[in-house]
Amino acid sequence: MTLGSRIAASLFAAAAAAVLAAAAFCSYAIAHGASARWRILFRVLCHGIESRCLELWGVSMPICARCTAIYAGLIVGIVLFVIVPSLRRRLVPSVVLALAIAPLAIDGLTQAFRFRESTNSLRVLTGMIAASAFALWAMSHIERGSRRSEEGTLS
Amino acid sequence: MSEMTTTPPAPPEPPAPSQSPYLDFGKPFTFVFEDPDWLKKILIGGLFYLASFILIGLFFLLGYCAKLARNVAAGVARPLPEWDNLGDYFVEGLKLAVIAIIYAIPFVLIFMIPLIGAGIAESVGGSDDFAAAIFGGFGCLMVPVILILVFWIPVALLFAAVSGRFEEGFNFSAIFGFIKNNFVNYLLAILINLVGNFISQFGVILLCIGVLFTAFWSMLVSTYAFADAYRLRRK
Repeated sequence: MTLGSRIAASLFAAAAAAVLAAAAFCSYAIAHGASARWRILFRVLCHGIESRCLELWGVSMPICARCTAIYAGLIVGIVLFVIVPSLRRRLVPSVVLALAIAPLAIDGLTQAFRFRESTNSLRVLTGMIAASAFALWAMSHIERGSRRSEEGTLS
Repeated sequence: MSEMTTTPPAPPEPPAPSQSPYLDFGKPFTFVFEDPDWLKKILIGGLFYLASFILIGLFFLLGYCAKLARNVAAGVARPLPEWDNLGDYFVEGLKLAVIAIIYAIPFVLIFMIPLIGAGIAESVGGSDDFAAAIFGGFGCLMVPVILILVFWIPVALLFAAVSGRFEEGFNFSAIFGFIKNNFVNYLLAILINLVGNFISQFGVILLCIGVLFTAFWSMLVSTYAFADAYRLRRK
């Protein structure tokens, strides 16, 4: 694994974990008496409609179930990329990414256009699949780019 | 049966950058999509934008934008760089961030004066009105100061990025000359920056997470606009 990939993997995983940790801390604080207005801080990232959010300590998280799953899925994808060597050897094809994102897009867009209302379990499932595949796809491209530039530096 | 060995024809080169003395208002918004790999570059950039929430990602983004600015200033037809040399992006982005911080230090210190003044006024039993007056007075002073910063820092970063030299960010006469001699193009670049930022907010419609990618796109739009103003500069 190249240095560039290691840096990118640590960064992306840390950023996704930071968002999840902040959201969890906000839920914890609200559950223990803090004002629910703290949820507004997360509006730049997510609509945070309470009925579409997962519950933690008996209160809704400030980001929706889909966003929670996307950030968790990014971490899962990055961890898979780091611990499974075969995933690092070749590029993840863009068609795989498109197939993985399709359920999320269908679920999200049919809800956005008010054809139907999704459920939290479906939001979590589609978000996890899409984000894990996206992390693998992005990391495989960064790995290839970094390897090329390292080989170019050495030659 | 002979095996087909022909490769698909390369996509046509986009038109060469405009030679008009004025900034093309539409090009910064569309140049990204002329790159055959634009989707890959935007998606990876969006991840770095997410990483900028923990600050470090910001250095990579600044480094990437510096490379883009150099390409645009050099008139490269497809200026969007690859995400390949992350170490170089980080180091260059760090240097640019240091330039911005150095510029911000005097203004932060100036901003501390009313805070200290109000604290002293309160501790010696002065009225709240007096403290509020100190704050209000300095607040009025800070508006033009912040406006100057908003005008100055992008050019300082642009000079450092295009030349690749840290000290060019503090070449005051060159920076002032650039703003003075290219005022119309520079104002247009600032306007493009504002429009790009406004449009990028609609990324939240793309299942919330889309805002990361549109925000990165708006960074590219702004960088292109400022770098194009530099390319077209009158000395």
